[in-house]
Amino acid sequence: MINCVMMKEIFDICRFKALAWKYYRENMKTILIFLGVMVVVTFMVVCKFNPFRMEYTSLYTGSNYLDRYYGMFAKIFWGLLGFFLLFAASYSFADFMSGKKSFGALLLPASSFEKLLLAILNSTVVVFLLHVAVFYSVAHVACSYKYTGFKEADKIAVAESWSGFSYPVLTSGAEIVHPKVGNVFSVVDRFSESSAYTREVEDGTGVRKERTVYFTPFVVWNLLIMYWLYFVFVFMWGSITFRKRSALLTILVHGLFFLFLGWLVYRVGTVFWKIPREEAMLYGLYFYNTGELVPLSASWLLLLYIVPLTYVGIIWKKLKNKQV
Amino acid sequence: MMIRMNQLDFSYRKKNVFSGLNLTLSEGHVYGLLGKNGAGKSTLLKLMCGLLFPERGEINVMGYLPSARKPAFLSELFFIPEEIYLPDLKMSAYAELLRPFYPRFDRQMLEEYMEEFEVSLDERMSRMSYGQRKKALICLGLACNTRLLVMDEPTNGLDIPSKSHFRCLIASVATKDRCIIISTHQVRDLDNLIDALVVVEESRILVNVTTDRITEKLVFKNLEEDESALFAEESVKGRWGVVVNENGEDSKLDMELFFNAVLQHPEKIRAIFGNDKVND
Amino acid sequence: MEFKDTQAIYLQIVDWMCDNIVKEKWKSDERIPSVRELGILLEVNPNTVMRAYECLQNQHIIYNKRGLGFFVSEDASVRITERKRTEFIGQVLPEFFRQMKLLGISWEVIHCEFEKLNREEDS
Repeated sequence: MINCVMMKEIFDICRFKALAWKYYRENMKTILIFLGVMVVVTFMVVCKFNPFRMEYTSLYTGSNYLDRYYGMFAKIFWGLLGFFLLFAASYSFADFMSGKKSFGALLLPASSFEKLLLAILNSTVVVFLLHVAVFYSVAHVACSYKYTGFKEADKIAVAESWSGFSYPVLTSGAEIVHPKVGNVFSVVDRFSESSAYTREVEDGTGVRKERTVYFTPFVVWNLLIMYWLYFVFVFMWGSITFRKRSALLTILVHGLFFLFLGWLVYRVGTVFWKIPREEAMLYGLYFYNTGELVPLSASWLLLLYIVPLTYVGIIWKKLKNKQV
Repeated sequence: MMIRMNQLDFSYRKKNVFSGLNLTLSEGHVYGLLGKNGAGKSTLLKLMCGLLFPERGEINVMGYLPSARKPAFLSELFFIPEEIYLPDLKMSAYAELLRPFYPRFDRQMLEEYMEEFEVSLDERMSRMSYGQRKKALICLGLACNTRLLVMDEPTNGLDIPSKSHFRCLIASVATKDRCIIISTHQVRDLDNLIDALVVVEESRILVNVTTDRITEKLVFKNLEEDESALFAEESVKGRWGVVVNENGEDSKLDMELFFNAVLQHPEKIRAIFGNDKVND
Repeated sequence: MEFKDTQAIYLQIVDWMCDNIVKEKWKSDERIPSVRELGILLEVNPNTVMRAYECLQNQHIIYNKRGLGFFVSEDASVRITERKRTEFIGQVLPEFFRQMKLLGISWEVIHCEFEKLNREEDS
């Protein structure tokens, strides 16, 4: 790669590409090990929880049972993603913290912004793409390994698992349909306009009411992204704040913060949204009305991006002021 | 003027390392930074590089504020710390990864230096011994052709022939527009390469002067039994010491002797050299 | 190159260069190594080497051709001998005489030893 001639101060695409290339080439071994771990863990989890039981796939959309347990596939996907993101984010600034690597990392002629951006991309986009690739590959492999050769079936019964929740099973002698690997992003459908989320709630006076909330797909996508960004940034903050055991310490510190956040939402909720006290929820995603259908305004939600962005700002500031 | 530090204050863990420190270093020199263990040599180097920030006072390096860490500044600086890190790659690959960041990187020079040091470009650096890795990093640092080169104990871990090669390399890169700062305990390793000395002790700079000026004002020679000296030591050769140069004698600078003299009689040394700054 | 403890480096370099000229390693009007080249060879800071070159230039033992480098003067050998003579008379002799006086050696003894040496060399 040739020299980058134009030395812009904060962001230079040529320099950023060089930074990224250097990072990947230098850490190739670690990345491959991480990838290997992802494959092994994903495979083990998938086999243990077996989301390929036909009942967990998206084929029988007409059946109540299957709809309800539809989310298992998605749950494994998102759960594993969270685990890997946590891991990656907690080590995102490990190089900068202290010791031999830190001098080179801090003195490398690239701007703090570029270094921050690379860390963010690695802990979000890259891990996400790797996870999607690994998960669906493993899913396809496990899928074809376990269930090839079966045919359409129509006999389903209900059984109960050790944790007390019931799930549909095949009766003996029935044949199962060739299972498909599901679509984990259909969680968006779940909360989209066409399928509102309805819950029955008791309001303290013995009267059962129905609360309905609509989320547009745009809203849901943003909430999803925002939530995950926040999650990742919290652990990235931990990576640049704590030298050792950053994940653990981050959780400890944020345990208190989450409580504070909950209290904040509660206060905000009770003051500005006139929500009955006993119904304000921790993550502020559910807003209740008195039976009318209220579409949640998307633009308001985008304000919540301030939270992850504030973290980015704090992380950037910390990186700029890092001393070793 | 390459580096200027003005009224610098710096503390580390409640211990005051520097207070009111002033220092000016110019290009075209190879500086030897001397000081006792714990005097703050490494700290001073890190302050120059922007790895540490002063609590009070200003630092100006090549016109930049080091703590701002601007890429333009960083590309003119190469720091070789005492504890080095090199990735698990071949140097030939690693050099290509670093090349885009240093505008004047010279691949040819890297190959020449590596050959001189007898370090292979195609061996994985994780498999090399400490000395080999150190040599490799020195070659890389020199090949980046930065205006400022800062090294913390570079000859530590180098075998005797390598120390000689190191001297050759430093001699070849010491040009008028470059500044090389070497913090060291092993002055003998760099004897004739250093042309200016900076002595740090007890949170301040005791002296900052060219070697020419030192030999102008001081004499290093065998002394009589009763001759008073700034510093002297008994040896088989007799009494070897340093005195004020009253007769314009020429002698070879003995850096260790000079260092001891500075530590023992800082006020006298200050009186002799005044506020000499190394200026062109 | 090994440098002695007793003499300033640049002077030792001057002596070494003069030796090279006298031994005809560097001939008249021949180009000598540049300041930088010599610095690398001797492992000495180029500034110090420069001082040596300046000293030799002042004594007209070498001269500088702009853009081409330093060259040995035509009459370098003569000048070197002159320089060494001056040094001998100015520095070695006074010390010699001082020792003579200190040890109480008379001029006759010196003359005697000198003759002895000549006879040994002739045979």
